Amino acid sequence: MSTGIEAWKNLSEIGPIYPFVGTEVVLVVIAVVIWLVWHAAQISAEKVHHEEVQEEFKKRN
Amino acid sequence: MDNELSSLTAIFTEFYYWVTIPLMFLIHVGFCMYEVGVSRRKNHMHTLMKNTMLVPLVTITFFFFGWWIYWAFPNGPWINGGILWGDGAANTPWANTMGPHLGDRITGVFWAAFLLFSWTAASIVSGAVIERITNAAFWMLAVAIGSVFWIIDAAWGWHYAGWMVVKLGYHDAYASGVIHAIAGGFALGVLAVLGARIGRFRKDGTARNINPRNPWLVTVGLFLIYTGFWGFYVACNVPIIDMGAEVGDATPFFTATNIYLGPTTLSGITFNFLMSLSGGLLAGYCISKGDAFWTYSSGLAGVITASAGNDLYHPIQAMLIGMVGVVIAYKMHYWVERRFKIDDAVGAVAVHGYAGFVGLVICGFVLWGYPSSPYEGYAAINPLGQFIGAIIMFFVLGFVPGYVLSKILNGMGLLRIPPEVEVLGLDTLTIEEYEQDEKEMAEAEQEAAKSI
Repeated sequence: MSTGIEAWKNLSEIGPIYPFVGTEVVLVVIAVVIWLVWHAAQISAEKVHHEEVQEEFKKRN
Repeated sequence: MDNELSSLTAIFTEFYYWVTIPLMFLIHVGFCMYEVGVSRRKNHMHTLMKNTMLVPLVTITFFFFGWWIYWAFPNGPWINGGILWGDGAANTPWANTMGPHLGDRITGVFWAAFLLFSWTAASIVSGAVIERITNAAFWMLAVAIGSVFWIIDAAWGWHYAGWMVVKLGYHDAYASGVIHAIAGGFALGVLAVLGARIGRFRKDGTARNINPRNPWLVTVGLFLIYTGFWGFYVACNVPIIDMGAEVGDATPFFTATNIYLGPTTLSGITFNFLMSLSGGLLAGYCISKGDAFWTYSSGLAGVITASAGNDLYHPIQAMLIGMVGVVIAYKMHYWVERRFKIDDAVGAVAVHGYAGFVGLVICGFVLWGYPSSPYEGYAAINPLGQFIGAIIMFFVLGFVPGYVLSKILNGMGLLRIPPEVEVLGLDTLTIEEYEQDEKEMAEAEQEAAKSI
């Protein structure tokens, strides 16, 4: 069983050496989704932080 | 990799680009120190994290689509031809050379060298907008400048077959325009929408000074940026190719080249980096009457001004060009501030934008008639081509996208932090929590001390 390379032989014929060659598109889709979700989550969290500070400002003024 | 000499060249070239990457990391250490030092205490940590998180965001988006743009868009597209699908294919995020590959010793390090330039483009904008932009907006703008607009300009004017090089004779060896003018222009576009910090301008329109909280940290940060800039210069060259074969000469001629594959030497650019830095420092010290922030910034502006032609200038020409750029950038910064009420917290638009623009224009005169490329059919370097190039960099790909994207973000209520947050401070609640934690610990220790 091997997820990629089975032997370090005929090296000039070996190209990519990472595991699961052929899954690159799936990996890219997963990564892009993570990137977009990160932005959405961050926008939400920053809004919450701003509301907390605005609340505090009102108490002090 | 079956021949020792060609393997040595391949692995030397790989190592050459690799070395520039940790050197260029220092630019970002410097930017972090510099921006934190300029900001007020109530905003330090948010300022730091705003600059830090552009690193992963620009990295992943440059992997997803930025690198493909560089290889696919030299013709515009549709200015001098179509999209270069073939060249782009090997640089898509799913190409198997975009990962460890025994037949490829260059893609990763070349991608990473360009990536560090992408971070720099975004970091330049970061300093100008501190203390009032939201993280959300800045990080989206960072992706835009770092993984889209600068890399389009690189495909156009920083690629051996870019249409600006072919048609305009555009020459910009160390990125006066492709990084500095575009990032400065983009920052100005954002600033025009973002507005000044609260209290920055008096009712009569004159500016109040918001002085750096830690001027020592600011200047050491700038000094680190100089150090990292060495890596930038080295990464802008190709270390060794046979130019004789490229141009169809009978005899081989192995040399370093600029990005356009025209000859230069590491030795020559070393002279010019140091002399243009010195010209900038000398001019900056005089014009700012010894102000540390402006003197250090002017050293950088001096290098930036001379960068367009630093592959070829005489060192004293580089020094004089650096001096001219600094005087213009310094004067323009204060004129734009007074006239348009632009609050550029760190002078980024001046040091990068105006200095870069001026550098391109000067290059058109000083290198007038030089070949822009070793290949046939390219326009020669000329003043009009450089001027048009400067306009494209600063305005078309810089200012306009920065302005339009900021308008969109502003329309969505995402651009600027609420005024209450700006006045109280982004870090104030955290600082007070830390102080409360310290007080509680001190009380606990005092209590424990009674029984020791």
